[in-house]
Amino acid sequence: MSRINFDHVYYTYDVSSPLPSVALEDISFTLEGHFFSAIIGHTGSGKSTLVQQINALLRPTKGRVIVGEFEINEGKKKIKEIKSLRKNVGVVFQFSEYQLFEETVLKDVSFGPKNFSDSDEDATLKAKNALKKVGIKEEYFTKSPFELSGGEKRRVAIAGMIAMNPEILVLDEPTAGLDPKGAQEILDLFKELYDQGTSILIITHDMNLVLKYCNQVLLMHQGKLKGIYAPSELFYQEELLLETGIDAPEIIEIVKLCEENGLSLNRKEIKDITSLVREIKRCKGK
Amino acid sequence: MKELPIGRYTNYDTFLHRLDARFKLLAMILFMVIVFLHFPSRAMDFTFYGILFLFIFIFLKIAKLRFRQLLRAIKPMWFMMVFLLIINILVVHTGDAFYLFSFPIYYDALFNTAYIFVRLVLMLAFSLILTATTKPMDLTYALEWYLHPLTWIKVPVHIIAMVISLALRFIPTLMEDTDRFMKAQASRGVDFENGKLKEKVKAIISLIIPLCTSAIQRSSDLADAMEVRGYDPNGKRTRYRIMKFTHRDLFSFLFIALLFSGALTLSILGIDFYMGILL
Repeated sequence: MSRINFDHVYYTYDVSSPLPSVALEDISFTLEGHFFSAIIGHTGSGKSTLVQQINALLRPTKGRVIVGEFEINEGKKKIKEIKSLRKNVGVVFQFSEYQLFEETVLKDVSFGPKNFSDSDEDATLKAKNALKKVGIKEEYFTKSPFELSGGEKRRVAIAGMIAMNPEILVLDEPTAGLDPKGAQEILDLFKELYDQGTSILIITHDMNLVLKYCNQVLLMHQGKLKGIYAPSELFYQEELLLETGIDAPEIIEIVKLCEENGLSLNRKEIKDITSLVREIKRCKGK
Repeated sequence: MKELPIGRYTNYDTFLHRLDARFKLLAMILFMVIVFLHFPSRAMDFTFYGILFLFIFIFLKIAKLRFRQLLRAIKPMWFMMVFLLIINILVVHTGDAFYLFSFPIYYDALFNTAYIFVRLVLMLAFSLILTATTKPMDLTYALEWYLHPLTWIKVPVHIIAMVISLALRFIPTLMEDTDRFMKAQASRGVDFENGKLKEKVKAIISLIIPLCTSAIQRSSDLADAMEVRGYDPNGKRTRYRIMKFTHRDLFSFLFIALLFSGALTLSILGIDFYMGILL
């Protein structure tokens, strides 16, 4: 079971410079069990900084982060411990398609497992499986990653992380800049991984995605954690959304209109158009 | 990775910041010439180095720069200096010597090292002051202004200046990219600090290739953006910012010219204040 625990975490960029900027302030929360969670918030609210604490790319200036049995605090850690932490928590960055560098797609995807001291054959096997999961066809395996389209490159980059078989997969805006079809395919992939047992933490600006897939939302605002909500609660709290500059999915408006017209819908069940239609039908007694 | 301490432009409004970039560039070159002038005696040489250090100190104070920044820039040179000292001690065998555990050490070797060290520090300090008080764009304009006569022999000065300013503009972007790629590859298990040579080479390759491809991608995007907005490398260009040579610049110029000609005269005529008594 995966567990992420933040205990009064502060993070400041350029601590010793004349202009230190506080990115995280007193963040405390726990994610436990098998989760598909989202971090939302305005640009510059500290989402990416928060995510980088989870695999020790950044270390808290104050406080501590506990992931599984690893504790990350301001002190230095042995590289071996950090490596095994990074094997358990895979972070895929924004615009990850630019990080590809090997001669072939297959080699690039097996780069991660090899770094975690897998044998060449094991690494290649894991890479092949990961590539199949993200829907890259076998004839692409020997191509150079630079020949692929943007969406394909991103899928290869994500495969690079999946190949390491992390317990928790963290993704920083994985659908940004993709066409709707490509985005949908990637989301379906995450859902599949989630169903197979991987916990997923996703940074996103796409509220439809949050409503449809996630079971918890961490709302960030100006470096602070506003709270953890269920999507079906959060999007009906108008004042909170206004304050943090979040737009609720359009479907929420429809739900509200239906309720004004006397339908008593079960908000928890409404995740997308299909489930909304189902709820309306149920209320109408069909 | 995050900061570029050496001579990063500081956004203050001081006397040095307001000076004309063309003048500052010239002044830096004159100061550097003084650094390399040869005076008749070592005492004179070091007197002048002392004067130059005094100037640097005053400039740093005026420009509100911190002395620590300069020290930090010098720090990486220590290793080189120790190496140079050892080489000098082994190679230079002229002049007087003293014995350290019956090993001869010649004064000339020590002085040679001191000369190189002092000159490097002085040059570094002057260039640091220049770049910390002048916007990179203004420096490029100044360079373009000086290179202007070359247009008579068909050298494309505009283009060179544009290339330089674009290169400067990309430094922070590339730094950001480096930081991002390092983190991305570290998440895939790359260890940039430890490891065997082979692993280190692999780590660096995993950083350089993405950096190069993204740099090429960015420059091709930028080229398109410039073309769309009508950039024509051979067209006549007008300026948004007009540089003015003011009284301030004139007085500073006279002062530097005086100092420079004084130093030059002393050097050429071989005048020694100390009459060869010292050193």
